[in-house]
Amino acid sequence: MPYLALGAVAFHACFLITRALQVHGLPIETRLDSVALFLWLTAAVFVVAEGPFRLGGIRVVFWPLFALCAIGMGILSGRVPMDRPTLGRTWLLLHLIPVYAGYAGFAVATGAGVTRLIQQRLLRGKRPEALWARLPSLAKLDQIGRVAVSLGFPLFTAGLAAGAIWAQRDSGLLGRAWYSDPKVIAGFAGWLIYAAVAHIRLAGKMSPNRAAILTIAGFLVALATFGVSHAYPGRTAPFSAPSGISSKT
Amino acid sequence: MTTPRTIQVVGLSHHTAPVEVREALAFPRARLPEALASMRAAEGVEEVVILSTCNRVEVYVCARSAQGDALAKSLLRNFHGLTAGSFEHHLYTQEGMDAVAHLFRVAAGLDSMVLGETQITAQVKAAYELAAAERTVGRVFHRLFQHSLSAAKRVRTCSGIDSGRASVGSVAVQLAQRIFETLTDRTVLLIGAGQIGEVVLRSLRTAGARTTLVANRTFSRADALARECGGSAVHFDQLLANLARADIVISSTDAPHYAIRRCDVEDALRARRGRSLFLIDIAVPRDIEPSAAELAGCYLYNVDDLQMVVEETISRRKRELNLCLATVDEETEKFMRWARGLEVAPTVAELRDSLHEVKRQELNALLSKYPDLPASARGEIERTANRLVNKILHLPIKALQEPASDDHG
Repeated sequence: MPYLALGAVAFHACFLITRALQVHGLPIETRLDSVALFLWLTAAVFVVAEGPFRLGGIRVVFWPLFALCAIGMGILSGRVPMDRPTLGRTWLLLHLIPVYAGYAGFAVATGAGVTRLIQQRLLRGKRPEALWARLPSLAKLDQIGRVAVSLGFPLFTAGLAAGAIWAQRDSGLLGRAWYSDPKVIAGFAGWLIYAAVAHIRLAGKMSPNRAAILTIAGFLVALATFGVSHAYPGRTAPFSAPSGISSKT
Repeated sequence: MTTPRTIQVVGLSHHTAPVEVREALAFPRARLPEALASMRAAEGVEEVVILSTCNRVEVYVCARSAQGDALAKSLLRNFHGLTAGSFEHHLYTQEGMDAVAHLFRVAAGLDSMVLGETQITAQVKAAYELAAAERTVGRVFHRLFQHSLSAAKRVRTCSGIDSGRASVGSVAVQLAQRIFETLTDRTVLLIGAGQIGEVVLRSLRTAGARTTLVANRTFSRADALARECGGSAVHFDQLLANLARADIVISSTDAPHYAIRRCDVEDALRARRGRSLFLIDIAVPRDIEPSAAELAGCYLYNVDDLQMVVEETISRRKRELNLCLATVDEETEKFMRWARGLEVAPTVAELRDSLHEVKRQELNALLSKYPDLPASARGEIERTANRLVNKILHLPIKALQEPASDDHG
């Protein structure tokens, strides 16, 4: 049982609850809040899935990768306030939570992909048993990658669709030409990458090793779209979440 | 005064006897109850356990007789119908603390042919359980054998003595599991009829591999082996056509040239659409072109690669040995403390009874002189006398239970 990780997730949850009490609602007042929620969701997905999906072996790769992403995203986001939505918070939840869960799946698939590359290198390089015996099998890592993507991609798609409907219904949110917003385009680009990764992984036509490399590359590009969404001061939340969340602008 | 109990072990192992002697002295499982009963019936013998495996035959005896070892030797001789002097020089005898430490080392796999192997713990447990079922185990051996199992567990927990794989077959299985996770739905192709190849094939089948193909230049040989392991034989000229069907290939032919070239592996991988191929080349000279290892999805190991993993495991286990032996010493000391306590228990009880009797007589004499003493005062005097006796008893009992260290063994 990953007690340390479980403790960290619980500690992080306390922070989110404190913020939720401060803002009287979902703690996404600032981009840092939003990133904190995303990171918590990713960590929680991993900790919950670790037992049933036997992810224990990729822990050693996942958590350092997660820590790096968390530091990077924390530095990038800052305490930039977000706008108030004119539609209800239900739409916000319908959009944000699936998108974040989709990205969490992508992150787990990336962790499995990185572990696969390491494991393959160890096995082919005839490295000491103490190293390769501790990591999961290549077949298990491929399975984790496939399952994470096949669960994450529909969630991500549903989240983006909810965001699009939200933007369409609330014309004040991003304007009538909401689809030309740079953050929406970046989000759509992220979806295209995710779609390509999901297609290739699930179709099984590419070698598992190349599929792992593609997953990692896809996740990095998707992270870049996150960076793009922050480069343009606008109203959308990270990962192309429609904007207007803060009550204090 | 009764003769004190002595724990003794008489036996032989792969350290002291060749396989033909071990075979001659091994107890068939079905005849063990008879052997246990026969040994238990000997005069002075209180408890018996017989451990009989392919690498050792040991008779553990707890007896109120100094002749426990002679009785065990006589059992071995008579039971197997051997003549005196034909096997005794292969035997070792340990007594007291040495016998206990020996059992703890055996149960933890520290005396095994493959250092740190875990199968012996199960064998010790089975020997103890059989003896318990046959009622040849009493208080001492219940405690001793249960302690040996928990000590074995502690030795393994405290060290990495059982980590890693210590045979070529188990390394092959471990590697296959790190590539394919489970072997249940995997196909194994054995090429040639080398002995190590067969050993590796058996290990893979034990780990779950169900489908087996056997290819040999002599088809009848391939057919015989395939029948033996429930697989199917493949004509040698159809070998390359079957390469893509196999997930794991074990090659051990005596061909002077490569039986499988890089382009053959390349074709097989293409046909397998990216699925991994695990090649184990046990042949010398090698059967599989070494450059095939460069192909994506191909995991090629030769006999040296597998042997290197085995040696790495063995040397790591040897490094852990001193730590394990220190743990065994601690556990042996714990058991001996308990055993000494058991041995002096009747003396302690006798001492306690006699002092309390003196106390009772003195109290009666005292209280009869003061018949008008209130009950509370009488009670207080009795409690004080009890405390006094217990304090007087404390030091001698402690001295009895913990004799000086030079008395051990």
